[in-house]
Parts: sequence; C-alpha cells; structure tokens
Amino acid sequence: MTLLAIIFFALMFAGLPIAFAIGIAGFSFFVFSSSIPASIGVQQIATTSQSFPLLAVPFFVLAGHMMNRTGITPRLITCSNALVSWMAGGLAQVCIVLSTLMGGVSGSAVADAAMEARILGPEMMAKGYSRGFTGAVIAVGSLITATIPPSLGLILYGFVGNVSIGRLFLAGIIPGFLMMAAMMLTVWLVARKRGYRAESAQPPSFRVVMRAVYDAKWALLFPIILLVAIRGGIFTASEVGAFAVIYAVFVGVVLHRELTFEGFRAALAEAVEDIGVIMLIILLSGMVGYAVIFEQAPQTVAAALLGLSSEPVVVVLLILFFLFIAGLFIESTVLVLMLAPIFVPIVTRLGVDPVHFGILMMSVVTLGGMTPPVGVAMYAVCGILRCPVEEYFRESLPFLLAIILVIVGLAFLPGVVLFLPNLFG
Amino acid sequence: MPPIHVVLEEFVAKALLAAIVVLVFLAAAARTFGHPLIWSVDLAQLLFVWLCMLGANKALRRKSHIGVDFFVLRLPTAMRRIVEIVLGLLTLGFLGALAYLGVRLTLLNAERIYGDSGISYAWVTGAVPVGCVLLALTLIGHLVRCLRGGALVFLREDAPRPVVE
Amino acid sequence: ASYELNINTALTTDDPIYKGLERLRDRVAERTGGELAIRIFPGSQLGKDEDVLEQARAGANVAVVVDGGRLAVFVPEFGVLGGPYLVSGFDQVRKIVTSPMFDAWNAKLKAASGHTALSFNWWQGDRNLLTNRAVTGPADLAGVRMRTPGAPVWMETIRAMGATPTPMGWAEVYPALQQQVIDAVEAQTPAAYGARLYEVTSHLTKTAHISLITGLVTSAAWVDSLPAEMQTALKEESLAAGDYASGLTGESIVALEADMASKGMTVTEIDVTPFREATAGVYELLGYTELKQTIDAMLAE
Ligand code: NA
Ligand code: NA
Repeated sequence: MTLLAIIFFALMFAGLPIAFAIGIAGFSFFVFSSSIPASIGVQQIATTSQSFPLLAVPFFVLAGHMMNRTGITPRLITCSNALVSWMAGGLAQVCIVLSTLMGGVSGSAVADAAMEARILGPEMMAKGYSRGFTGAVIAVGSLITATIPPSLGLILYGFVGNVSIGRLFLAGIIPGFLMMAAMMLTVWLVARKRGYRAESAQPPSFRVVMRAVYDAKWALLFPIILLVAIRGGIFTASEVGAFAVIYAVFVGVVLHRELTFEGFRAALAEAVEDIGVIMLIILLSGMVGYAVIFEQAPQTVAAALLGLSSEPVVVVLLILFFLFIAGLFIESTVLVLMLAPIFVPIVTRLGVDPVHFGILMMSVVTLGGMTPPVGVAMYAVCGILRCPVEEYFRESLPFLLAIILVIVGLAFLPGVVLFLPNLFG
Repeated sequence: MPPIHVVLEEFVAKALLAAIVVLVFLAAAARTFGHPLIWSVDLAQLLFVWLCMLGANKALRRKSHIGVDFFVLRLPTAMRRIVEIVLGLLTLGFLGALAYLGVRLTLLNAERIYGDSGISYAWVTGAVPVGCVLLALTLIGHLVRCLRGGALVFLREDAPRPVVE
Repeated sequence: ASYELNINTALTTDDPIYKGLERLRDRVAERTGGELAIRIFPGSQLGKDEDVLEQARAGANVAVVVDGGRLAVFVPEFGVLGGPYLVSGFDQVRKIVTSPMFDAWNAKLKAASGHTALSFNWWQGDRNLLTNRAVTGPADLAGVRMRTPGAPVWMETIRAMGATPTPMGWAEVYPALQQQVIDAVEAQTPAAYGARLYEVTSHLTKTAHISLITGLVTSAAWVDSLPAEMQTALKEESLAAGDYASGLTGESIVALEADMASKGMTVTEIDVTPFREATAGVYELLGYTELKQTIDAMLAE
C-alpha cells in the first residue's frame, strides 16, 4: 500500500496525467503480489466499467453538453441578471445565482466554472472587479453547481459507497442553497468594502423578473422533473440520466427550437472526450480499489480512526479535515473512488446516515478542486482569466471560509441535510 | 480534414454514446409498459466499455487528460521535456503490459458468458487490450513529435493554464 | 501462515453462510496449526462471482460461494442443481452433492476450467415468492413482473410459473419494488429478510420452487499446491462447515419467517402441485431430461 501511494504521488507531481499515475500505481500491486496474477489487473479495469450506476456518468456529461446547445444557458443568465444584478457586487452575485440555476441542469463544477469564466469573466474584469476576485467567485461558486442535483460527484459516491443516488440528489438541494446564501453574503461584504457596485440602482420590476423566469422555465423545471421521474417509479436513479439526455434534446428541438443537427453532433463529440477523461481515471483506479480491499486497508484505517474517538461527529469532522488536506493535492474523482469505500462503512457503523456523510464528503473533495496547488476548477478558471494562482488564492480565502463554515454546520445538523430525502424518499 | 482513422474513431464513439442512451431509455420505457427487454441494458453496458476506451484515446490525442502541471511548469523547458519523455516511455511500458496481459486473460476465460445474454464476456475484457493498443499508438505519435523537438507529450502548449509568477 | 485462502461471498456478515465460513476459518487454522490462514470478504468485496471465478482460474488464491448456474458455462451438469422442484429439503440435495456423480462433475470442472469445488453443501434455503397479492396458483401470476436472476434456468422456471421474469441486480430490488418498477420477487428467506423486502411486499408464498444449494469453489492449481494433508483438512472442514451453515440456515428461516409475519407479512404454505406441474417441462427445455431421470433414480434409492 505504501509503495502504491509513493508511486502515485511521484508520478502525479511529475506531471503524468492522473489516470496513468493511478493506473501505474494500482498495477504495481499486481506486479509485486505473489498470489494474485498480474492479468487480474486487466480484469479490474474491465469489471469497473460493468456497473449500471456508473452509466449515469456518460448520461449526465452528455446531458450537460446538450443543454449548452439548447439555449438554456443564455436564458439562465438573463434570469440571474434580473434576480440579483441590483445588489451590491451585482455581477458577482449574478455569477453565484447562475451557478445555482446551472446546478439544476449540469452535474459538473468544472464545466460550470469554465463556462462562467468565459462568458461572465471578461465583463466582470472590465467593470473593475479584480482578476483574483472574479476567479474566486466563479471557481468556488461552481461548488454549488456540483451540490444541487444532478451531481456527478454524488453519483460517484453513490456508486462506490453503495448509497441511494435518488436520496443523495434530494439531500443536495438544501446544502446547495445554503452555500449560495453564504457565498452571496460574502460577496456583499467584500463588495461593500471595495465599492463594487450594483448594476442598476433599484430592484427590477416584478414583471421583468417573471418574464425572465418564464423564459427559463424548461431549465428551471428540469431538476424537478428529474426528481419526480426517480420518485414516481418511471426510472431507477441509474436510468434517469438517459432520460435527462432525451429531455435536453426535446427542449432543444421542440420547445426552444435552437438545437441543430450540427449542435447535436458537437455535443456528442464534446461528451465523448469528457467521458474519456473521467472514465479512464475511474477504470484504471479499479486496480487500486482491489488492492485497497485485498490489503484490508479499510479495517486498518477504521481501527486507527476509532482509536482517536468514537463520537460520531468527532470522527466525521476528523475525516472531513483529512479529506480537506488530501483535497488540496488530489483530484476529487480520485478521492471519492479511493476513500468512499473506506469511510462509508466506518461512519455507517457509528450511526451516521451515509447520505448525510455523502453530502459532506462530496462538498469537501469538490472544494479541493478550487484550492491550490492541485485543483481542476481552479486551473480551468485561472487559465481562462489568465489569473496568477497566488492572486486567486488570496481572493478565494473569504469564500473558502464561508463554504467551510456551511459544511461544518451541516456536519452538526443532519436533520437539515436529510430533511428532503426523509420527506420524499 | 483529420486522417481517416481519426474520423472513423470519432464516428464510432459518437454512435456508441447515442446508442447507449437510447438502449437504457428504451429499457426503462419497455419495463414501464410491462415488456422488460432483458438484453437492452446488458448491451448498453457492453458498449460502454468500448466508448470509454475510444473516448480515452480521443482525449489522449487531444492531450485533454487532467494532470498536475503545478510543479512541472516551474521547470526549465529542456528539463520539462526530459521529464515528459521519461513519463511517456513508462506509460508506454504500462500500456504494453496491460495489452499483453489483457489478450492472455481474454483467451483464458473465453467461456465466460456476458451477464445472461449468451455472448462471450471476451467482448468486455477484450476492450481493455484493444484500448491500450490504441492509447499506446497515440502515445508513440506524441513521443515521436516530442523527440523531434516539437510539442510536449502530455501537456497541451496552447491549453489555458494558470500563470506562474 | 505459509498459505492463505481469500474467500469471497455476496452475503453479509449476519448470514448463516458467513457464520459457516467463520467456522471454516477457525477450524482450518486449528487443524493446520495456523499454516493455512483463511480471510473472508463479505459483500462481494473481491468482485462479482464471475470475476472471482476468473481470478481463481488465473491461479489466484481466492474462493467464492456460488450456485451451480455459475459453473454451468464450464460443465453444463452443474446447471441442473437450480432446476425447479429438483429436491425437497436439504437432506436430498446434500445426497446429490456428495454422490460419486457429483465427484465426476467436479473432476470435469477441473479439466474444463481449472476450478474445483471444496464442498457444495452450503444450503441457502428454498426460494419462495414475495408479492403484493395472494398467490395460490400460476393464474395469480399472470402479468406479474417478477425479479429473478437472469440465468436461463431461473428465467424459464419463473415464466413456467406464470409470471413475467424481470432480471435486475439484487441491490436494485428494494427501490424497484417500492417504486413499483417490478411487482414481485422470488428469493430465499434469509436474503429476502436481509434486504428488508417485508417492507415493500405483503405476501410470502412458500412455493419452494428452487432449493438454493451453493458451493465453495476455488483454483484447482492452488489446492494442488498445498501439502496433501492440508488439502484433506481443507476439504473435510469445508464439508463440515457447509453442514453447519445449512443447519443454521434451516433454523434461521423459521425465526425469520415468524418475524416477517409479526411485521405484518402474510406467510402462506400452499399446495405446490400446480407449480410443480407447470414447471415440469423446464428440464426438457434446457436439455436436462436424462440427467433429471438419473437424479430422480438416485434420490429414490
Ligand atoms: Na448539479
Ligand atoms: Na486542491
């Protein structure tokens, strides 16, 4: 296990793509094992692809790209503008509300962050927002997108932790809105101090807001339809992703009349590449998964953790702290794949609902994507905005703090996270 | 116009993705109406592993696989190139080993049936060695270009990337 | 320990079969003076049954608790063990899996795929129907979407019983019943209880259409690599532990069914003759006509 970890970190920090770093590290277990033939490494790669819940990954990636081609994004931007651009730090508030609304149609923080950096970033900087502040609002705000259902992070957690994806989706809604509130409050405080202005002098008229909401109705309805379809027994949580794609195409072709055949093919092409990136990491990490189980690492970690404390909330906070530190350096998909199988049984034994823990774990590891030195959402945003990481980091501190406060608060309040799943699930 | 094998791979991958969506959607719809299609989800799952491999190869061709360039970016260009070539050769060995072992495993257990479908599970296992060969070929292309003094192996020069100061 | 065996099972730690595996582990450690160590991986941690069989085939020191259907791709005879109304009760099925005929199948298995069954007397109970309506005969199952494993013998049996066989993963059964994606399921009592199916179905009808017998299957090459007396110890203890686990299963079924009844479930014993007659043709359909006659003759002795 130690050798495996050393190989992984050495290769990753030397710049090898994470998929190969984790693949070579995992393969080393089979090469050096005296009892398990090396060909079983290949079996683990193949078998990882044969999980039905995992099909949700290509579905929601494709649905996200389809949505972008159906005119949903501009409608949601108009809607966000109407709702909050009159507040202090207006454009930054728009970014955060847009991340929340996009949350209902997109499952990926990185995709949302890149889109906002491209579309809203230049406008914000032109209006006098600092480069680092712009990057921080967009990157950290995209955590909201990943928390509101659908969520690729929650799908992966449900897949490896064997937890109901339907319940996880319901559980993500309230934390997503709490993060939105915390982020907006932080923007308001910073904006007042720096004199970042509102975009307009007074709130928009009720008519204007209603008009924008009405225009965006098919996007705003989508997460609701999604949850109803799961709850109503038409689809299992694994199948609902296929429905999401069909819905996106239907909205694009029939309702918005903006999806062309060219756009349809482009969305497929973009999705194929994204699926290749995500799935190669997942498939190759199948070898590490086997090594972790075979070496009985979960039992070892559980014994060590429970030696420190057996108070559920203390253990959860210890795990979250560990995940936060790990998240500074390790990509979130890898963290979920490696650590959910270890931590879920531990917290479940202590009586923590795995759905509650899933929201906390997913939030912390996804937040890792927004912190240096390793963070995919951060790279995407800083790359597009040409923003130095140091500047980004300084400006992101208040937002990181706000999100951490929300997460720690949620750790103590399972009732808030579980309210919707218990009500409908 | 990209070379013919790239066009073909792209077409097949897109067709696979679309087929998987339709198969799973149809399975759910058919079951709702009381006529479960048992092969539909199985077939989708089988096609999925091939989609993963083709997608991974496309991403490697376009150098889109996520890596940590935080430290490498701080190295002088010549150094960075050497690191990348070493990593590239290591990865090539890894892919070669997987391809060889994958063929052996596929042949060893060819009787294994895929789910309850009656077709051989070799269609799943076999995707791994085929995928590894494709990735290895793409990687060799990148390595050759790098050794000739052109682009890097894994990093995309034109990709948006944070500025180092 | 000089030798190690890693046993994988889909079952959880509260299952009687798991208790039997623990007993096997302890007895083997005792008898070999700790030279052969057994580790147990519940919940299919090392992979699906077929994956672990493949690992064993490649020579890994792994074993897995599987039913005959999994081995039928290598040696078709094993498939007959899952046939409808093949036996009644554990004693009859134990007679089959300890017979010279079974030893011959096991030898064939070693030649065909390099696997060997250490013992095949791990009884998990009779499979019964869990529905949301009363069932007395095949007519009551018309149009009922019933979850079953997808292997041909199960599919044909359920079809012959009058229902629409609907294969899906075991983990999806509970939500699927809750959301009425399916209407019914057929399962042995310990598994049904473990998955809390009494919360989402109202009737347990004891059709006992299939007696679920499983075995402990591992790599023949690995077994051959053990010293002779260690091989004997492992096989003998494996058979003893299988009997022990099967006994526990029998006891637990009585308790679990009483508990399900107290949780509001209607548990019904019915005359199974209509189902027995309806499924008689399944053996012919699957090419087991002769084998069925041989087994019937053996059981009549
Ligand atoms: Na989302
Ligand atoms: Na990070």
